Amino acid sequence: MQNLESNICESNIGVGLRSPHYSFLVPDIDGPLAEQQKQDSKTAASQQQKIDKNKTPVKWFEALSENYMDSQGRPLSILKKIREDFPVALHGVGLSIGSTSGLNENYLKSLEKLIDSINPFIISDHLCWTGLENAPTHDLLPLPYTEEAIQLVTNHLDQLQNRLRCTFTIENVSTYLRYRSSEMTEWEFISEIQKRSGCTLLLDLNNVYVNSFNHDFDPKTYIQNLPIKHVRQIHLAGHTNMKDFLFDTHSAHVCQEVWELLRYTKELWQKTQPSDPLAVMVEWDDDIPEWTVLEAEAQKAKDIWEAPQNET
Amino acid sequence: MKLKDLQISFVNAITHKQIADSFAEEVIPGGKLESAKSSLSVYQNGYPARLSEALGETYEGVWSVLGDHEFITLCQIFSSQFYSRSYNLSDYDERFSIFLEKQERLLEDFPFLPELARFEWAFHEVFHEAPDQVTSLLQDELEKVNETSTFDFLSSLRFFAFEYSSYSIWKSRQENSSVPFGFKKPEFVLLYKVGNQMIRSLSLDEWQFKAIQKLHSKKTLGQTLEEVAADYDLNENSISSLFATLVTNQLIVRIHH
Repeated sequence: MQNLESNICESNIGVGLRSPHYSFLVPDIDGPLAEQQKQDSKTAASQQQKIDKNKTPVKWFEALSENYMDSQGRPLSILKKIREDFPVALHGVGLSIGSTSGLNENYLKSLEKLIDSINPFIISDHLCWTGLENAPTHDLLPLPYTEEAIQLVTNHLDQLQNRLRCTFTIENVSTYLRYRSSEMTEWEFISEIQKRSGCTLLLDLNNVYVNSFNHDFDPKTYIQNLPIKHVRQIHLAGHTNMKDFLFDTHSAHVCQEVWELLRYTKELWQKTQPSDPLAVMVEWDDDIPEWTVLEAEAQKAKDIWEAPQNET
Repeated sequence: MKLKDLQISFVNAITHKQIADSFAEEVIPGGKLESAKSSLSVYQNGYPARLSEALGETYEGVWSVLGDHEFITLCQIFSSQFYSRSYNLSDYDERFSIFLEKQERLLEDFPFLPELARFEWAFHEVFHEAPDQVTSLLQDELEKVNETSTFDFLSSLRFFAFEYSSYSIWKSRQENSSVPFGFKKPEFVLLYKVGNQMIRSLSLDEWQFKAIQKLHSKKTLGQTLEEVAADYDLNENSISSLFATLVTNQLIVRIHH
């Protein structure tokens, strides 16, 4: 196994790295077009200066693997620059670990190359499938909670972890339908995969909340039935209420109920007497706000996560 | 239902909008959605939206010419005919320019759309390429250049002989201005990437463009000048201006004498 522990971040609050914030995070990097150079340096100047590592609550970044893994261009050079100052986790959306077509060799090669150049402290993707061979849907599609799916995902995780020589981390997804053939609850499905594969978990609390509404269960029951000591990372995000269902859009502030789930998860996690930090982060993908708004959301996560136990 | 059959049915529901009865029976709708159809529509609607967004990022110039409504409509037609083939959404899709060649109604007003789209796809490719490690050519290296010299160029260098003023249209893509009246003027453009991930584009006179194309195809300097001189009036100034273009724009990475 690759030793990732040496890179683990000291503090545990992070955010998703998104291109609208590049100029604030790395103000001395040029725009992609020669004619943009002057304009970009003015923009950077108007944002005063580079992020202050000592003052910001943000201590690490999560980068979307697919945005960098097939590129040798500007995005990768920016990510490398950020990696000089901050720990980075790599998070994918296209691995398709639950696809009956198997893992895509080209995808794995590109991911391996990116891992080698970034040396991330967590490598994760979603517990879902995204399409079939030559027919990607670019969406996080739900799996049925069956023994057949457990075996498929576990086999793929074995392949992946042996190849990457590290523990892989999988994330629960938001879903808008279930299957009649499911043989167990979502939390039982995830727990069984974790147990058989030895993977770690990325617990997306917004996805738990969205699914609890969409599929009518108690989100705290979900969380308390997970193997909490194997949770390595937490995602926080906003969703959109579509009236008939909740939609995981990552386009808004984290809602009050999800902050409450963070407090609840912290209590459970502390009871496991953890020896390693748990990486908590805020992701915002649509209607991306200014850096300061995202930073304030990260500060809120930090306040909850670092509050003394009796204040949570 | 076996997992493989379920996944085939789900992909068909998304890409072909065909929901098999056996698959519909398998689905329990989420939230207050009333049917398998309505819950599957959440995924069905997401597919063209994501592909259109990817096209919009790459084909900014085509979008700016057509306006929001026409561009989005066109993207939806395209995505219903040309499915994504790569796990990486940003690879969607080189085939857009071929699709545009068949849009006769649009081509009546905007005949340059296919070549503009080809340029934008090339820009997308160059954006993701690694820059060459270029060192400035030493003066004594340049002084040794003679008729038999050949040149190695930047690996990212692309040539565009536009039938229309597509480069000027592309350059004004963020200005919300209408398509210039005189767009029928041909343009000759180089696109390339230099150090520090900077992408440059360069509009040239036709003869310079042709000369650089010949040099790029490994013809010697002497042969290139002879062939270009057969079609264009060249003089001492033209040759030195060609050299200035090559050197000041850092197009050459190596000279072979």
